[in-house]
Amino acid sequence: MEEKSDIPSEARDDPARSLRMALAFCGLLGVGILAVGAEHPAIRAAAGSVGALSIVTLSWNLRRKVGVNSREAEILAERLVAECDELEQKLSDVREEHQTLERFFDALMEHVPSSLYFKDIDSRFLKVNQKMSEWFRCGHPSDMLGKTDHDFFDVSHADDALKDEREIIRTGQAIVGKIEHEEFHDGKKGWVLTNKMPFRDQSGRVIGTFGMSSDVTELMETRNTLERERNMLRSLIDSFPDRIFVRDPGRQYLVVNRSMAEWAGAKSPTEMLGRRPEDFFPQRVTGKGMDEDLDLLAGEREVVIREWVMTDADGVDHSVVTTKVPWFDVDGRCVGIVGMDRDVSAERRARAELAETQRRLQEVMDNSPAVVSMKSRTGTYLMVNRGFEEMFGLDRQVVLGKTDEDVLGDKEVAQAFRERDREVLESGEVLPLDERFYVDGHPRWYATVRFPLRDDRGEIYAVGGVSTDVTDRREAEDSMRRLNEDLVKVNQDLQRAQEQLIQAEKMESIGRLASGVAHEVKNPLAMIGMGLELLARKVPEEDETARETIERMKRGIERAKRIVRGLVDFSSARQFKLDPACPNSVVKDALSLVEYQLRKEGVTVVEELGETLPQVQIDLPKLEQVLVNLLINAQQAMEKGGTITVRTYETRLSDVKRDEGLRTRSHLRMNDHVVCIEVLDTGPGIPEENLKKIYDPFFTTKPTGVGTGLGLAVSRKIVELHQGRLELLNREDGQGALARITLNACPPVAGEVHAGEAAS
Amino acid sequence: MKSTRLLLIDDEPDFTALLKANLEAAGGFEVREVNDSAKAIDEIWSFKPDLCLIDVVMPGMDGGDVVAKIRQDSALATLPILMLTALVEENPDSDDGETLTGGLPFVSKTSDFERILACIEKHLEEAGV
Repeated sequence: MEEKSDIPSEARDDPARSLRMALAFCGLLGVGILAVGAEHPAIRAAAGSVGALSIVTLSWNLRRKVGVNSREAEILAERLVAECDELEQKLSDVREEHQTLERFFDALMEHVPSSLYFKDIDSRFLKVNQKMSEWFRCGHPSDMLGKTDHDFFDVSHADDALKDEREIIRTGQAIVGKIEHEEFHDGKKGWVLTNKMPFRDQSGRVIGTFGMSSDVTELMETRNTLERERNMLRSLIDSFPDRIFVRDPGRQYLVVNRSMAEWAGAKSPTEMLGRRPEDFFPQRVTGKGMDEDLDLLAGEREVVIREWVMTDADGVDHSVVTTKVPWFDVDGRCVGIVGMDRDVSAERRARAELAETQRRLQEVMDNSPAVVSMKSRTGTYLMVNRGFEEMFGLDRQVVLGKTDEDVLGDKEVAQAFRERDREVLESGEVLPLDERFYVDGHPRWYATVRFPLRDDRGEIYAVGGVSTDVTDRREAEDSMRRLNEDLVKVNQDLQRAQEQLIQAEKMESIGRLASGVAHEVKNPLAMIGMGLELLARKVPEEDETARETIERMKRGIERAKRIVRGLVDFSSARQFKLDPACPNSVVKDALSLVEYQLRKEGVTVVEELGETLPQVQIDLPKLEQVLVNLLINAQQAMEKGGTITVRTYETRLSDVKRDEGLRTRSHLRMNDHVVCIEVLDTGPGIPEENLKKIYDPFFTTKPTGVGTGLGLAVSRKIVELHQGRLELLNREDGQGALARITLNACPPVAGEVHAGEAAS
Repeated sequence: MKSTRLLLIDDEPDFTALLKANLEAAGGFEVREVNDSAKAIDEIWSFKPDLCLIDVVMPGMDGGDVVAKIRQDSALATLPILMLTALVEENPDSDDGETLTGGLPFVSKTSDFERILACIEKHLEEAGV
């Protein structure tokens, strides 16, 4: 369109010529433009029209003015008509194209998601799209034409818009990407992104403005959220005591927090951005980090965790743990490194102190003679001491974290331990125990205390156990007790010995007295006997009462004589003559003496006599007396009759008791070859309380007049003079009593023994 | 028939009296008692017994001393003597319960009268009385 502004100066001298020249020029220019192809369809259409009109006008003008001959004119006219047709055709094409362009424009206006408007120089709406009219709550875009923002918005908003538009008109400069807060017709508030541009006419003069607005509320909200989160993250990072940093692949800091900046000696985090670690830290510190960064960036490592020691400006060492990971963008590319340095000095110190405390505690426990352990609620060992290791023969590394069932071979012991722990857990109380364990196969006693361990809230989290070996103490106590018992026993023995001594003395006194007493008693007895004899002669046969009385008196004398005879036997110092004899012969002699009486009392005698018994040293009459005594005793024990078994056998002595009489002990020894003579009855047996007293002189269970109480004492003394043993027992089968005479089969001394000597 | 003379030497007059009564009741015996052993020898000489029954335990001269005195006198050496004493028990091995000790027969005072009598008669017979 610039071609119209430049008119040749010679055209002004001759108006007709000038007009022709102008028309020709215009026609050619229009055709030229069409041929060249203008950018804008409207321009092309205009150019086509102008070109065609100029050419038609020119051809007509030329024909009228020149007046040339018709042949030439016809040729010229035909050429012009042809050119004119061609121009008309082109004009039609341009119009069509113009219409297409208008459709495009309308479609654009209608479908673009933004609001579009055109305003004239006075900011009146020239054209708006449907979107715009909807936004302004106008029914149809045409309703807005000729109106201004003041018709739709409050004054301040409309004034702001007007100001913008005037500025654009004044400067010709567009306002691009302006974001404005807007209130929408539905009352919703939001954000609008607006581009405002100058609207020029064909000559480039600004004749108004046009613009496009889009609702960017969502975008803005997202942006605001992001901003908020970024600020929050920033605050967080800045307030974090650990040193946080983000570096790009070139090790330049992208992000650092305050803590990091302080540590690096920078004034602010910003000061560190774009700079490298080397700018703040010595090579010694950064060297290793560089290699790690390269590894992370190359994807060779996923994370780096390293503890190192940093000496600060005051020369204080700090334990630092550095953690670094690669930083990936949304496409998964590694675009840097995120890292954190944590000063763990305090933790390390606390841990070292704790370890030291624990070590001391362990040391104290290990040097304690007690067995100490601590178990969790689930029964796993948390701690044991050396005493524990030694007692169970287990290393603590094996024990810790395991249960009793895991480590103890004896499942019963493990079970017992578990039970006790449970008791403590349930009761929450201290449980004292006496326990016995076998250590190296020897039983050891332990005084154990099991107790609950509680946390700050008072909850039981573990069970502790302390066991002290009290075996020695216990043994000392035991031995003390035994000693005491022995003492008591010795005392008892002493008492018994004393009693025996007293008894022996008593016996001796009795013995000494006996002969005198016997004589003195026997004389009056003899006299009374004589008197009775005499009286019996004088009493008439028919006086039965008198005769009966005399018989009773005679029986009385017999009793007195029997007692005296017993006393004399007991104290007899008569000589004692031992000769080898068969034990069975003594038995037979004795049985023959009492045979009649036994039969009379309904007693059956069973003989179980050994067949090839060795001979024994026997004073036959004395031993016979003993046997008769035992047989009569047996018979008297069985009030309603019964069976007496007489048994002889040889054996090896296996039961010499500690508390046998001294005399017996000196004669009968373990493993001696002995002959036993036993008299067994089927009576009620000997009551327990009488077993010890039966050998005492004058002890008798028989009714008055039946026994003197001297029989067993005398019998025993006689057997002891045979260097043998007389026992009275209850039969093991519970059938009655058993009297057993045990005599050495090979007596050490043969010949005469003085009773007095033997007894002393 | 001439009665057999028995001299009872015993310090117990009650016993000698009763024994004497029994012997006399048994018949055939003339019995004299001596309750003081010191008078025993004189009494033997005066009474001239066929048999002396002598107790052992007596005050002053005991039975042994009396026997010794009798034996010292050759005229009395053969006088039959029976020791009648409470010191011994009846000898169960002999029919009359007598025990011979030191060449003298001993019989227990506490024996039945029948046994004492049997013993006396045995010794009288042995002595040819």
